[in-house]
Amino acid sequence: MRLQIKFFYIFQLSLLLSACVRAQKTMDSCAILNRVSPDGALFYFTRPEFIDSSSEKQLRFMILTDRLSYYLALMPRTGDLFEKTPKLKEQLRVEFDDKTIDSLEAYDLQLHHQPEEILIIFFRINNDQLRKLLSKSVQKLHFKLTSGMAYLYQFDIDSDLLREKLNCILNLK
Amino acid sequence: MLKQRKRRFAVTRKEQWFLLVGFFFFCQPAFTQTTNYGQFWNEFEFTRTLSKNWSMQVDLGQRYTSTPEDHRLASRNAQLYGRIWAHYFPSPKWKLSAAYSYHFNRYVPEINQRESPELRLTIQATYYIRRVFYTLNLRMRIEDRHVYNTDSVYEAYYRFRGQLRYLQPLNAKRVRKGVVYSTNSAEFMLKTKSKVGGSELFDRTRVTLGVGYAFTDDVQADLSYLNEWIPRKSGDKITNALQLNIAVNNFLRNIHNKLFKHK
Repeated sequence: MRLQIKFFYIFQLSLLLSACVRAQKTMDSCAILNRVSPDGALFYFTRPEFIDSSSEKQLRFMILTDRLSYYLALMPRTGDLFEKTPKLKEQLRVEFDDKTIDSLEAYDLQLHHQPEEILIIFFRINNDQLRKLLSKSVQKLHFKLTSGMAYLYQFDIDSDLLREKLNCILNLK
Repeated sequence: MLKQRKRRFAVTRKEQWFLLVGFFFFCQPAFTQTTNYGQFWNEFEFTRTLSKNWSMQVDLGQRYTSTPEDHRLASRNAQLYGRIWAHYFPSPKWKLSAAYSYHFNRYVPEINQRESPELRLTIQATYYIRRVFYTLNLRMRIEDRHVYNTDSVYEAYYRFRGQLRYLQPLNAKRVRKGVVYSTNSAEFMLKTKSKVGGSELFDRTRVTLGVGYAFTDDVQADLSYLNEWIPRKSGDKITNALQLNIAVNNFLRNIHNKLFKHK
């Protein structure tokens, strides 16, 4: 009977501890999630967060990596309804505060209809671009989609948030 | 001119892989008497991450086989097994794994198993070569097999397996929902002497050619043709099998999310 009570207390304590750890993880701004990819390897990603500096909050982003290559995933809330997965017309144009422009190579595009329509566009970040994104401030992102007609999107960016998340994922090493 | 000629006859890296796979595929000698088996293999793989560098996997599988008397693919239930894996990722290119499995061998012709169990401890290292359009895995595996033999004891022997696996998404750059992919592998196995497995050092070669489809980001199914050549003094055995693998990632988490989060 005593042993059962001890076990009960230990069980309660472990539940409390795991709840604390979980709460700490969710509050952590540098929380990195991971999942097993179909080839059996692991890849890591940040939580989706709003990155546009306007109050309208129309663009979310994630940084993804397999610890060899880095990707930027953009999830725009465009207001345009796409029946089919649209195509990316050009590369992502990144405008820095010194008015220089760089282009990120398009990697993949995915349209989810359930539970809500989410378009996720993946861009590959090479090592030079990674250095630039960490050292300079990004002002604007531009990209163009086509699905019957052309859709041009431009977003003002919270550069500090982008840099913070890049640093989080680079610290994985 | 000479350079051009050299280039024309030079074997590219891609061709080298085809040659290697072809070597495994076609080098089955037809000199000795062979017995052919038709089999159907299916496996369910459940994976999830445990922490930053750890993941786990549970495999449940079943195999059906034909017999020399009955050539139907599923005439006998050959094997049932369950396996639990722990995977550790020390670097982006390496995966180290350990597994423990229980196999109930109901009718495994090459080790003369009839209704006998087997316990198997496995350690494995996988090296990943990732490119934009494909992934190449080099897998080395050592198995410590304990097979119940006719003397009613668990006979222990080791088996070394080396595998090359090629995975290529066909209609996207990565495997995710709606993507068809090609998965091919070539494998050889060496073993130590044993009463159940025979005295040969060379155990078998195995070649797999398959296609897969990702139903969601977390559920994939692949269907493969598998050819296995088992050379033995008593007569070679060749297995032609149809293999259906279903891989599910984050099974419990997804069910929990479906039940409780979107209500």
